Amino acid sequence: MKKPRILSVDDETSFTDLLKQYFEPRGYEIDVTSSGAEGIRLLNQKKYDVILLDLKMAGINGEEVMDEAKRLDAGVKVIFITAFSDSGKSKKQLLDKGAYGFVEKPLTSLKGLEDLVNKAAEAA
Amino acid sequence: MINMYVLSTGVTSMLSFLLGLFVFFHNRKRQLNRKWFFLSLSISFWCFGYFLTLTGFFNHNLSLLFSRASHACGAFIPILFFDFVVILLEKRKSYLKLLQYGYGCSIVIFLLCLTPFIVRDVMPKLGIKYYPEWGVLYPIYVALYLIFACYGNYILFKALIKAKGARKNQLKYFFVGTALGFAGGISLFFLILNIRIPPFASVFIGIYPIVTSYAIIRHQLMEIEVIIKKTLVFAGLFVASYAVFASFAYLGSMLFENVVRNRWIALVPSVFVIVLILRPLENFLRNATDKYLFQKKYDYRQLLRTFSDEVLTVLDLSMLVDITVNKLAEIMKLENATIMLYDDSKEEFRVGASSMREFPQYAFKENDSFIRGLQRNSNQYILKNAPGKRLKSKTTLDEKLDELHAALIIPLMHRKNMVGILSLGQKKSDEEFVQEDIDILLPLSKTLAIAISNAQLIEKLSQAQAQAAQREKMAVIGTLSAGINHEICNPLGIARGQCEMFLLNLTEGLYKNKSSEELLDKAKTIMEKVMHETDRATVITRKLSSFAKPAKGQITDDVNVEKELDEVITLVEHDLKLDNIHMKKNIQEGLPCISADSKQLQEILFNIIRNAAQSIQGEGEVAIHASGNAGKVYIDIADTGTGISKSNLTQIFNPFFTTKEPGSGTGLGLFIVKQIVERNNGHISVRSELGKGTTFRLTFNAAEPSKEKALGDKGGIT
Repeated sequence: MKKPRILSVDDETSFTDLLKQYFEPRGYEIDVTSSGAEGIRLLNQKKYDVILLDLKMAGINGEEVMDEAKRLDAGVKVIFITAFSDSGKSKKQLLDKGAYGFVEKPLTSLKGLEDLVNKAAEAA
Repeated sequence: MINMYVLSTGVTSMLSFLLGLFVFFHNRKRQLNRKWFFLSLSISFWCFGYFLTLTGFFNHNLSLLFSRASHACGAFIPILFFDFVVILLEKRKSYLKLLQYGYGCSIVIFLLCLTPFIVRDVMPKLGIKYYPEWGVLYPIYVALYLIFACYGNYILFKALIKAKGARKNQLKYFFVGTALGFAGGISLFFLILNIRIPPFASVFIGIYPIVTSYAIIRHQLMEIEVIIKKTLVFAGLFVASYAVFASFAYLGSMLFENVVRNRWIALVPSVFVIVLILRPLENFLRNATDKYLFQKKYDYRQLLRTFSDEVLTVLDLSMLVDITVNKLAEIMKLENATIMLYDDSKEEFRVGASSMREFPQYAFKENDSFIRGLQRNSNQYILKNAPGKRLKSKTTLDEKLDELHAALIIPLMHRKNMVGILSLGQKKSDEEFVQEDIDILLPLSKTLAIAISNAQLIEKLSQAQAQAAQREKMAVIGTLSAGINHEICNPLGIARGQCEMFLLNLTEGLYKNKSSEELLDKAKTIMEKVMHETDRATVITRKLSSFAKPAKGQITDDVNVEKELDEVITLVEHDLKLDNIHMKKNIQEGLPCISADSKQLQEILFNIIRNAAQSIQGEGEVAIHASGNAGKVYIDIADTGTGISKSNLTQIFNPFFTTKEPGSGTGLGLFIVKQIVERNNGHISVRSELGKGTTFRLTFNAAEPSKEKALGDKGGIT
């Protein structure tokens, strides 16, 4: 089975770097960006299976990116990687809008994240 | 020359008569007072008879008659004294038989006195012209005197040992008074029986009526002090007058012996001189006794001064009551002083402060009979062993006072509420509280009650304020926690991820084609990244801990505004960026340092920037501009927020004023900020326009450049 294509949007570049370094050698196609606007631009150019989103970002935030992604492709899976304690949004609200899952920051397991990404892609 | 004995008997006669009348009219219905009146009358007539006999002014027959009459009247002294003692000790019923016999004997002797069997004659003795000479039955007279005087004094002494407190003192003085009086009386007998001891002790007779009269009227020891004082003044006046008269008499006899035979002529100039010196002498003696004998008396002016200057201005409740009890005990020289305060939450009165080292942990419930008694008490105070009927309720009250080691209790009333209880112990001098003390203590207690309820109010307010400040701090921590998560947790998560990835790559065989050199290179890169991330976390923790550190509260630093501003910006920048708020910083070049506390400056900036950011809806900007001019440094914090309406602008520095949604703001931020600014000798002002934004201006004093720096600058120029 083909490995899912991933888009990661997070204003923390060292975090997106880490994801890129992890997923790429394992055969995933992954694009990373640190801004929501750039993320939306990429979404318009390419099709992704899974989007890893930070919620709180300057400019266009994660929720807005998800809205746009869902508008472009309703089947895309969105996983939020964020510190929910200060997001101000309840998980339920985001699930209602079509979010697939959540990973709490700080990240405790890359392997766990990889498994979640695969599960999300299979569910598609 | 007039003999000392003559004078003492004359004076005693007069005094005894007057004091007897005084006591009688003080409360003529009281058996004790009536008995005292008769005793005084008896003593007065007895002494008067002696006086007339001893003057030698009258002829032999008259003098003899006076002496017999004197003895006749004096016959009742012992039995009246005894009667008085048993009434005083409330034991009259047990001695009724003895009293009947005593009065019977006294009447017989009274009658016998009119015969030559008691006083046979009067004749010259020891230079006294007419002195009584004993008759055959005289020993009976002496025996009667001795029996009742000694027995009375014995009963008195026994009661004295058993007695406690005020009663003991009262009896003690009374005992001393009567013992002296009887000693004086007995001293008159010796010469009558031709034992050649002059009746020198007869002067003591004069002390007797004075001491005892007041003891009866007042029942309080403090009054005895007054009596002693008066007696001393009187004795001084008496001695002085006598000295004046004696010296004139002596001068007269020396100079005009041949011209004037009668020494009474000396009275004329004496009266002139005495009238002249009497008033100043009295003042002098009064002051002297006050000064030298009653030093131990506290200075109530000092008490009032201390209270108005030092005590009642204290706003801290525990300090107020603590100072009060200690100052009261110190100035009034009390064994102890205690204040009990009302505790709302437990509905009881508990010891708030005590000068006693062993802090008595008494607590009285609000509905305790003792407390209710105090509230009902119309006297405004309760004095231990106060005169009055010994009711059952009174004895239990006295027991309560004993428990508290109190001699005087004053409820502290404020607007009909009892805010506390002032309990004062015995005076160290063992004296009683008198009206004079009460007159000072009552108004003092009223002011104390006001001070206490004020302090309680302030305590409650500051408690509310402290709670609000705590809530405010929690809100600040909430704001910070986003930053904390971002700045600490993220680096840690990334560092962990780097390590996890390396290990997974190893186990999953991703590195199996790599040479060991390449692998080391990989490891090196990862470790550098890990170090970079942990360094990031370390920096932020350092900043946080330095921000959270309590301020020193002393303005000792020369604070660099830019440096502190940068510290604050790093804390809030991330949060602001997330909310699409830009921060702009514009610091004038060469801005002088300000003299302030650096931590407090951080706190001020943090709060204002946070407020500014909160006022911005959507995108916006917080611009900080700092400039210096003429010894002042101005820091302007401008936001592009919603602005503050004119009516609100005047209130924003008030405590608890907030425009935020209920629950989201405590309204203490700017109030606290203003206080901190002012603590640092600064000033805060605000201007605002609705819809355009708000600018806060902080004004601080520029720090004076230190000498070294100034010298350095000079060196730079040359």
